[in-house]
Amino acid sequence: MTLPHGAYQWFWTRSVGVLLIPVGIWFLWFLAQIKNKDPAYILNILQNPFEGFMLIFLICLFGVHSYLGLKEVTIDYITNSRTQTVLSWVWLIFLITTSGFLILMVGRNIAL
Amino acid sequence: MRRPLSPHLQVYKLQFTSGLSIFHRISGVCLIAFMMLGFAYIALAYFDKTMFIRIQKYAGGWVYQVYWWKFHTFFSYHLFNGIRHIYWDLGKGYHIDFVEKSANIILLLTMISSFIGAVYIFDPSQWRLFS
Repeated sequence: MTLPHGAYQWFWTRSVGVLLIPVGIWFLWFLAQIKNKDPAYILNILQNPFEGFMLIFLICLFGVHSYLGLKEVTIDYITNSRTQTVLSWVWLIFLITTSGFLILMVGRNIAL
Repeated sequence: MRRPLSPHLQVYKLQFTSGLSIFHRISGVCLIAFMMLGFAYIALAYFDKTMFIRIQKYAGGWVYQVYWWKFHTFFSYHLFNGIRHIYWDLGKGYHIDFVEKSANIILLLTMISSFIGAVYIFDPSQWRLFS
């Protein structure tokens, strides 16, 4: 599918948003499960492939959705195009590093 | 072309429904911070197990619980309103009647969800007022 220039932002924010509905509901359910539990219990749950991969999936989707959202907010409220570009890169690098770090950690826990 | 993606607030009269729209954006930005804190908290389970437990009990345990409750409320709002936004993106529901009714429904759903979250999350037996 080819999208006109400028529609990518719109299209991907919405598509990832739709995917985030079930995964986000799962995350709330997961948080309810780990409430007031000790770390060993949580790590044990996250060793299950389903829980571990769902968390990785959530982190990926969250990374994309929040990057696109922050970029949209930046473009709307900051007029200087140079600042817009710099901030967009800052968001991108920040989200990629934090998400990547978390994914490696959760992935390593599943593999061990 | 660097045109803004949404109408600018300076030329826009604020209404109840536009307030909800703005709050969708505010809740989105707040959720990034909440999520990052939540992920950092889960990351602590891998690195510093003592700190993980200390945070659960920090300031008598209520800071931890208020955090999850606010996270839950903002998340519910962003989720319900997001579904409404997707419905508009499909090209439906532009009638002012629908916009206003759905705005009320979303507020109601958020309040119900927030209430259920509060009942589930708040646990006074974990609170330690003088420690």
